[in-house]
Amino acid sequence: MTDATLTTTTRTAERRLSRPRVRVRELHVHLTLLAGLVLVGMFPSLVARHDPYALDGIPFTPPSGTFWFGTDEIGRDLFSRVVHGLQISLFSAALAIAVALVLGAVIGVLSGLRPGGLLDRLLGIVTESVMAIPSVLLALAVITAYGRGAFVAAVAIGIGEATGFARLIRGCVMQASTQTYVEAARTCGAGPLRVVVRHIVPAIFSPVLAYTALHFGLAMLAIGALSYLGFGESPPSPEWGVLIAGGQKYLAHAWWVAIIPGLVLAAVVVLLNRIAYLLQEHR
Amino acid sequence: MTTTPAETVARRTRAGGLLRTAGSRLAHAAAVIFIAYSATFFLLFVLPGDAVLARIGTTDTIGSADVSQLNLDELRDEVGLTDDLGTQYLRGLTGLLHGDLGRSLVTEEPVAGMIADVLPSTVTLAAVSLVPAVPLGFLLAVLAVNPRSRLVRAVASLLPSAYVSLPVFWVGLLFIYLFSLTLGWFPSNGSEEPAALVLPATVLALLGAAQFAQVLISSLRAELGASYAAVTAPAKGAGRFTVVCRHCLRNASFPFLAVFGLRVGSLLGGTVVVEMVFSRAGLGRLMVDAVKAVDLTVVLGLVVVLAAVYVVINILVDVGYALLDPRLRRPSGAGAGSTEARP
Repeated sequence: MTDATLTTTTRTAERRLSRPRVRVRELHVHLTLLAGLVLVGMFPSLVARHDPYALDGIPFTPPSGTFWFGTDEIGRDLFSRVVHGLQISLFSAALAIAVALVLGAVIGVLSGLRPGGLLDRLLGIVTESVMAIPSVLLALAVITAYGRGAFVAAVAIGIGEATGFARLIRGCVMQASTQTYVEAARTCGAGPLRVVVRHIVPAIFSPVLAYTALHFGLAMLAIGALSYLGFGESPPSPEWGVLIAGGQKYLAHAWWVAIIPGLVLAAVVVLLNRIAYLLQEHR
Repeated sequence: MTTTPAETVARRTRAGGLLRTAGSRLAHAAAVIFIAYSATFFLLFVLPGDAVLARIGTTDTIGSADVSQLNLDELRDEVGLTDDLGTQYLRGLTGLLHGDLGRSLVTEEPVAGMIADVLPSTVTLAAVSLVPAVPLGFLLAVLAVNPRSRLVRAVASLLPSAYVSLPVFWVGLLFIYLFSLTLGWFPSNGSEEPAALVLPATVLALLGAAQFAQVLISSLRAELGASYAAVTAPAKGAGRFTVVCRHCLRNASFPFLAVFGLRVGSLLGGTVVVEMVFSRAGLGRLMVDAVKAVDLTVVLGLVVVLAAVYVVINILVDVGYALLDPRLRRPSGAGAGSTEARP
């Protein structure tokens, strides 16, 4: 069997497996959903029909036509609270990912440009040392030093996430900087900054984007866990982790107070996860 | 039978190479623990919070007037917080070398003892959940690539990525609601009776299985595309099941091993949260209480212990590589690459 037939066989198999057109449409549907979520996050009062802090109903009303997600222990509309919580979740995760991206890009580019150099080895061992601390504990250590709160929690999660970004970006930069066009640019006299900005950043953009989508969801989960443990937002805030922790006490007779916010968080993360997968398929 | 000089030299360099590899691995491990310790020390002790206030109770409970009457500096002096940062750091570091993690700022108990007290509970939970997680992960991965039915493959490949998207603490609550409050099969909390282990261990086992399956699925797919699996083995008459299980699974296990090492941290983190959901005694409770009380030495001790666990597991992973890949048993490594070369 020749090489040519071999590649044709695998290509046909790949085409049959991935079915690109369906995937593109699926990606567009998911991105539209995400855009809708971000819109709702920015303007929660568009869909929330009640004040998230007002005592509008009878405590522990099960989900119904008036209160879609039911009411909590003091009669606040759970649907409005969940919708307002989306804003906090999206904003905190965005902050965490921004911290992770900036830190990870600086470390990744610095070490990826000269792999094996002193700086690379130094940054490598520092990154590994941070990875050796479980992310929950790392976040809790930052919170111990700087006090609890949504902002500190988000930054703390971002520091933990930065190690993964640094490793990914380092690998991508290493791969990209050996490409012929990068060498050509260097030969033509482009300085390191120009090479990075004009040639390497565009090359690593797509894998980093897929990774960002995935880890945006994971950051939402981590922030939810921290507020569940009582180190992020604090009640009366409608943050999802706070809602779930608050509902845990009433699980026996009002399951919806704890279960529904978690279901919504899970749905958003599943959506981001799927987008990340589709982006990865489509680079 | 005598060995030729060349063989002796070869054997000696082989042993020397192994020793050197082991030596540099250990030095690396020590460096990781040292940096984790130092970074956390300076993070925590540059702004030492109000550990002393936490020790005598919070300002809220006893009122600020009472606090001002106490001699705070004396108390700070007692626990050594008034010394300058360098002295405290050196003291901590010498203690660490002797296996002494210092004393809790709040209860004055030795930190090493506090951790040793709760460690068995956490290790039991983690170990019990890992036992079913590994075979379940492999099963899901094989189901995701092997069966003829497209539906089975789609479900098996979607389940893992869906499960890792669920908040661990929420799955715990869901399990409590379903299996404890509604069906009454298992207790929802406690740490003594074995039945209380079932629900938290299941939550974590599913998480582990999902994470392992995700990696295995992608590496199995990559291996199935390689020519030995796509062409050679089928040409020799191997069925698809044989190709997957006999030819690809072993090669696909390498990324799995790497993940096994890297995910220890996240699994331990998951364990911490799950312990809190099911109100089990363990590292999670110790950690959360220490952070709430601003007990710096306990937080620092936990960081060191867990970093050491991570390092040890990664060394074990390297040994696992050597067992799975015969090329790595040769010291100068015939291009098989070290851990770093594997993604």
